[in-house]
Amino acid sequence: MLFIRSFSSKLAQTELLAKWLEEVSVALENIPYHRLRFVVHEAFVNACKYSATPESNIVVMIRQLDHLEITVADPGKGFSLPEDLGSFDKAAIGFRWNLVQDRETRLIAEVSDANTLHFSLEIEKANQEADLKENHRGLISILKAAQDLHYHFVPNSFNYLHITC
Amino acid sequence: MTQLVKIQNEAGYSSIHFDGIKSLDVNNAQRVKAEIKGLIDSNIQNLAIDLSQVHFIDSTGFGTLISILKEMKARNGRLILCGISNEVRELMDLMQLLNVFETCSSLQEVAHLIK
Repeated sequence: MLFIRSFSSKLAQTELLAKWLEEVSVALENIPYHRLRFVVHEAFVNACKYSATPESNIVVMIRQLDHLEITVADPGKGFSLPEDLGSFDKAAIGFRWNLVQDRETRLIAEVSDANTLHFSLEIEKANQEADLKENHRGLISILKAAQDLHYHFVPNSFNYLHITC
Repeated sequence: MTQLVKIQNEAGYSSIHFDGIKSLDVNNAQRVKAEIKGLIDSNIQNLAIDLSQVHFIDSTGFGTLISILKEMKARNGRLILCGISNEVRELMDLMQLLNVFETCSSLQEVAHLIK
């Protein structure tokens, strides 16, 4: 099963997104509506924030396989790498760095192929004085609710935030 | 502009109520935070937030609740979340926040908790 819909790149569209997801969730197995809404909402908000033009559209695709695949595509500027990494080419594959690092939380980005970042989360002290970091709060939240998170950047085309639940 | 939240003073605590808000998210969380911080004066030690009307909270909304929790802790006070729906409870579980906040089923229970 595949569901696709396009939304304006505006935060106010989250209400419309929620209504669409309510319809979609009826046909999906293994994921409650509010969890689906949370993951897609966070990805959509992330895309809105980094989309290059507010007038552009964000496309949400949901595919039910053995697992659930969610793709949120936006025409943004892609992602920036640390300055010392230089160009984003094959030499960068395997490079890892911490987007967020403190006592409890590490949000790690890794270049997994020439145009793809893989994100992972390490939490040292779950259920302690939890803090949703100001920076990358959406990515941290998605990783708490999903199994896998990739960001694929195609030059002069769309960026794809790909989530597996 | 209409207020999104209202405060009610009870014996021993104050309670915050959302006015018509079903979703605490990126679209209203900053305003809600500013309104709540503007309403709670320095004399308030115990604060309850009634979430019974709220059925969705995103990471920005949780960030707002954490910010208010920190504010209350800084003044040696308490923040109690009341009437949490099953949907929000599951999201709090996903975000590993259930043990961070003090919760209770209803505002009536708050009076017993703060004794």
